[in-house]
Amino acid sequence: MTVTHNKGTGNRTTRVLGILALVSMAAVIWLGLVVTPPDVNMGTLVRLIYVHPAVATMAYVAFGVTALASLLYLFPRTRSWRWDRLAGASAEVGVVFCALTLATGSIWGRPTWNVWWTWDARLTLTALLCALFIGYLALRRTGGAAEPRAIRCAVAGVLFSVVVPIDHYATQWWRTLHPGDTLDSLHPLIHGIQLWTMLLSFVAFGLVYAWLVLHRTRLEQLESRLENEGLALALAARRAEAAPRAPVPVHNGPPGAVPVAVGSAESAATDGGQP
Amino acid sequence: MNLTNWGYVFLGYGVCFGTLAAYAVWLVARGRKLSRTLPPEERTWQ
Amino acid sequence: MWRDAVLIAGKDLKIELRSRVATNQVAPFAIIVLVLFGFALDPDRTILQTAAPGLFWVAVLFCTLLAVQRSFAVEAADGAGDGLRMSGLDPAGIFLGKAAAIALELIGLEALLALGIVFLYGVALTGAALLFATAAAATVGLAACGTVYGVLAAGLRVRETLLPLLILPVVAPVLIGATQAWEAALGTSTDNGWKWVTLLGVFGVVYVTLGVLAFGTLLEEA
Repeated sequence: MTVTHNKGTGNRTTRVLGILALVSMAAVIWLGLVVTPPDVNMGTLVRLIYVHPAVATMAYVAFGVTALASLLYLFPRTRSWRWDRLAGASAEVGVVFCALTLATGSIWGRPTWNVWWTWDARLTLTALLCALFIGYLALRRTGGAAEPRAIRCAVAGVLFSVVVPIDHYATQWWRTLHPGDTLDSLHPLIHGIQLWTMLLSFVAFGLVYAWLVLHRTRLEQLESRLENEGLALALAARRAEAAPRAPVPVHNGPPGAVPVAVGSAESAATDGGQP
Repeated sequence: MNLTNWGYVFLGYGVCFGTLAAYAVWLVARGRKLSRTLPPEERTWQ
Repeated sequence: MWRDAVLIAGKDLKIELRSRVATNQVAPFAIIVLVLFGFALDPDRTILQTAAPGLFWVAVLFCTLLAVQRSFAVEAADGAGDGLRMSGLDPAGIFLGKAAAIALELIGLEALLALGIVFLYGVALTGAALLFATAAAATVGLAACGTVYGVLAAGLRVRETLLPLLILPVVAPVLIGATQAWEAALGTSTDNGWKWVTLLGVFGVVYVTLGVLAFGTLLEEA
């Protein structure tokens, strides 16, 4: 019997991806905190531009992937469990990135305007998106048969995504009427090494997103196997506990008689009408 | 809460990378745990 | 499809007429919400008047949740849902019928709430055309959206807590749009209310279309 090394959800691809992500992330941190100069107006707070926009973009990318995967699952010709798993994985990673977008946006806004939350159009939109996909994740955790649940989630994924452009205009118009503090007014003109660092941050967070989604998709596969086989495995384990001693065949009767197993409560019970 | 500007930058970076690292660790750990409990089988990534 | 829609809408409204849940339970609830807002905000009339459009539409959202829950609760009892599936009615028609019934109930509740803000908050209703157009567009969107998510969550045990979590973030643009349009109508804002009505219209069209397309699939999985 071949022994597969099931160390988990990793393989060569994720290891390479992981190293690339770590290296680029380290570069961003070093460039962002040490090498790049502070901004003329914003001072050292500009360093958050190497984190916030990239994280926000990845959140939207993640939800776009969920929407696309949901669509692919719904069309019978492309239906495959792979898309359902991808949709769920990307949604969870997306919620993480979304929360980080809100956190970093809030942390950036606080020293600038002295409040933790500003009803900036884009931040509000992101908060709405976060709420939508938290609902999506809740839908994924509802019990029941796997296929109806997958279809339900796929439909919800598409329905949520369709409303995003409408939300964009709604929040945009809403805030232009009462122009408050917008993060747009924060974005300084950056060039040179600042620009390159920001671009690198997009690459770095993109790699991190890809690595996280790969692992989460595989985890989803394991979780669904646990759901299917978990009960059977647990039953087998309980049965193994109930019958600790292996039955020993004892020949008592005439040759040709069925050997009677001794010492096994189970087979004694099932031994019914044996001669 | 009154931090210096550097304080906010570190807070932002810390929250961001800390959360991502913690999430990554949780993913890998749960993956290994499930791999141990489930019998070996065809995995599409191996 | 249209015939089936009328059939289903008629059925739902007849059930409502006989059980009087909307009139005896949801309507008082709506008024109570308005009163609670009065308690929460200074009874100083100005703040209530300024905030009236927003409070009105928040109350409408709560009523929508109740109306949707009720609409699908009647299907859950006694295997009525299975009966509906096997009846051979066009699923799109079922969707339109249920949504229409919810929309009509909402219109009634909105009329009641409008009277409420006139009496309780001292609001003068001006700009009738804009008020009505907004209400029409918003109600269509709310009813369609609610019906779609209602059937999605219909068979689930966590339905009562899941439905608000699903619906409320989705109808956020309706809240924003309807509030802004009503503020323009009542004169508390100088914005162009009709662009918001357009947005509400788009939302409504989108969800009616999606509902018609998706309801068959969702009904089977419920």
